[in-house]
Amino acid sequence: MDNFFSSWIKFTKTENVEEIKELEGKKFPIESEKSEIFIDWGEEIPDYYNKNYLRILYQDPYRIFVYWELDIDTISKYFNDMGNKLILKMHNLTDNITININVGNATSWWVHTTPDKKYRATLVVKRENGEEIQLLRSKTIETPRDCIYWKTDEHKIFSRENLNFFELFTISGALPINWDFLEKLKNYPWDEPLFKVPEILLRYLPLWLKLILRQLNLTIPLSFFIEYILKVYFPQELHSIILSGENIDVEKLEEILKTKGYDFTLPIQSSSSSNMKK
Amino acid sequence: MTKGFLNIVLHAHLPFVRHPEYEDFLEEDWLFEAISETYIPLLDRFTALLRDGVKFKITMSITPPLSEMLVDPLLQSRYIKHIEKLVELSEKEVIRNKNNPDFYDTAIMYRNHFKNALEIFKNVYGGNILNGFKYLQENGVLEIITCNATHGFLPLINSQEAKYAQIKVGKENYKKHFGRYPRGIWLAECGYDGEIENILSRENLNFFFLDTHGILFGKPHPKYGVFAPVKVKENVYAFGRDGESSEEVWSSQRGYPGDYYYREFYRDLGYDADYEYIKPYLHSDGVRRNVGIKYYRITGKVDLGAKKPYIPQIGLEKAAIHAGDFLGKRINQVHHLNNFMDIPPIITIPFDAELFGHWWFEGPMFLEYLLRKIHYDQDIIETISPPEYIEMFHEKIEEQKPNPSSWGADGYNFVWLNGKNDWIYRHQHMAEDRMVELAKKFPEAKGLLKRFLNQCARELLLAESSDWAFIMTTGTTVPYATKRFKDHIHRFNKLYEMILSGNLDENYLKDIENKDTIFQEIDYRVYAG
Repeated sequence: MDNFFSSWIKFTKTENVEEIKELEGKKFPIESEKSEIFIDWGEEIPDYYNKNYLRILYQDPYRIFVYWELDIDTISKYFNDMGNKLILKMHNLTDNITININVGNATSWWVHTTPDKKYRATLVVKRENGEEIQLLRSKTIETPRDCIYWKTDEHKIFSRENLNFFELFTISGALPINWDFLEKLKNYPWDEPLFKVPEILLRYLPLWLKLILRQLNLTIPLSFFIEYILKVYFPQELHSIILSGENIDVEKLEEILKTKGYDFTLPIQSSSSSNMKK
Repeated sequence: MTKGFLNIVLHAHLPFVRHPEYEDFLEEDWLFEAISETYIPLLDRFTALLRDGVKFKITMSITPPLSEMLVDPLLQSRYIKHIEKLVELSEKEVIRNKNNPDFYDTAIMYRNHFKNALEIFKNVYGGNILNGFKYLQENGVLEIITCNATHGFLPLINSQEAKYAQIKVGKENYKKHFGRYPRGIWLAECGYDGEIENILSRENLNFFFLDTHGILFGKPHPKYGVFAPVKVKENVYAFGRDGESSEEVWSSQRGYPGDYYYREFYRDLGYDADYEYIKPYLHSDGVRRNVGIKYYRITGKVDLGAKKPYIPQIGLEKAAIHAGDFLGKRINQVHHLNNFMDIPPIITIPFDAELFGHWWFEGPMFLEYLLRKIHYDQDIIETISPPEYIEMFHEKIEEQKPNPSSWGADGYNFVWLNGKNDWIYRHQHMAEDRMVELAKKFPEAKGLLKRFLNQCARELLLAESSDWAFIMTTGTTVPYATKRFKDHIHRFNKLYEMILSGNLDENYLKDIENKDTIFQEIDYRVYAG
């Protein structure tokens, strides 16, 4: 089964970026020799439009480009006073978080974001006394998702009716799990009978782990998290689940998970830890 | 019985490059090379299949700038000069290699190849090969679709009016060239921002394409993965790319085009030949460049100097083997998918058309072999066009809001928005706003003013071509891309100022009209919303 599925793991976007760029670049051949001394870089375009605007564009789920301009009237009204500062406020409207960036004289800024959130930018003047005056407001945009949209009832995640879904997703080349899924996995009522779980988990988790590592650039401890669960809960199947072939140090793993915010102690650990430590 | 469908999509695009102000212009070669190496070979192969009664269906987007260049008399006459020189060179090459068994067959192949291109271009289609594609569409084997006007990357176009203009102008231009409206659209670079389905629905463009994660990460998650389209709006469907089969062809490492027996792209006679011998076939600056005659095969991971001679017959055999392999894998894929779906899967495989022939020399033959094998060798898989699939299975297709995405590296907007090209958007978006302002201010312009306004629209659309930002990222011909972007913005701003001041300089307009001739049918009021 593993051999069969390994041939399907091809959706490795990030891994192939350089390769794809290289291939795409071939459409416009690279000029290796240039005899011209004069290079025509085109006609003049304005440095400044003397307008007020603030615009926001997403690059991907993780970065937003914000650019703006203030007209001469606005600048002379607010910035002849040396104590005033121009602040870019990035509002994550979904989580109600705002960050303030003292942008100095810049007219654009790259800002880190999180996927699947609504963002809006405002430009404000901050006076020395702390008073803030809003100058401009951008439109609201939504960052794209970088993973599957999950809204399935958590108790149905491992149900048989989802088998088709897991299958089709996995052979479509993507990872049918996301952070929410992992949270649900963490909170899954493990004490309940697990007869529904093994088939799907055993079938796909090894593959998903590889996909996590290869394409989503998630931290390795996170995938260890799943591997750890597997090793703890399905020690008999270890031979088919082990990814790296390396033994995992449980104490160290717990330490890593704790630094990642996972307060993670499994009740079953005592009975199976002998399997973990060889 | 048919168990699944193959939806092969070829996206043919080149930016509008036409420089009447120069006798000889390097970047016009992009078109000329694509005509000889991709468009004519594809036409030739598809026509042969049709003639032989092979049943097949290919979806092909021919972008408006490409259509406009293919029907342009200046570029047509320049192409004939270009190909005539190549015929001349290839005939000399046959003589030069007469006693060289390593290269003789290949020399003959190139001579036949270029002579055939000239014959088809000049005598079969009278200089307008668009008629060839049109003929194939009328005979039911091609489903030609349009693209947004200048291949503008829609997620980074700011105003709704400007997005609408990109789509509407693309649709109208298609009608000009193909005599009817298109049924679907290729959104440039599969760029989707979740804001255009209303426009597509309103314009009756029934389908478009997304990269895999556009569908997979959509809301709700898709029942059939990427193996069925999703419905994004009344009468508008999105098809997601199958990562597996795309990679088999696309990947330069693992994909078929990297086979060691295929022709090497980078080892070219333009660099290998004696300078005095090759000079008449170079551009007027005399700099050595690729001329399109390449005698070596990929050979392996070796230096260009260590490449071994290309053997045309083996190249063809490899293409046939790879076509068989590809089909076998698709059959397995379909069988497997049948276990999990209650309708036959559709496997969508989009490619840049220029991959076939230009970069992957044997690519058109691969396609021909693949289509022949599908027709003669099996009955599990059929090729299909999106409207046919929608027609058959629309009752089972589920609604979804896809995830914003593109098929560029990293899957979102990175290629067109990063530190190398972020500076362009300030100017592009300002021009968009100004164009909308003009269209609203002058709802019924006539005569000279109307010409000014129409030219403004052309300049904005040309500035919006995704190609400029793309080239700035890939670093290939950055000065030219920068020049093009700045020239169009400069021209736009100058026309805009003249219009607002009422000081219309007709000579200036004429000069620009003569250079940027794209979209003669345009109506600036498309920007009024």
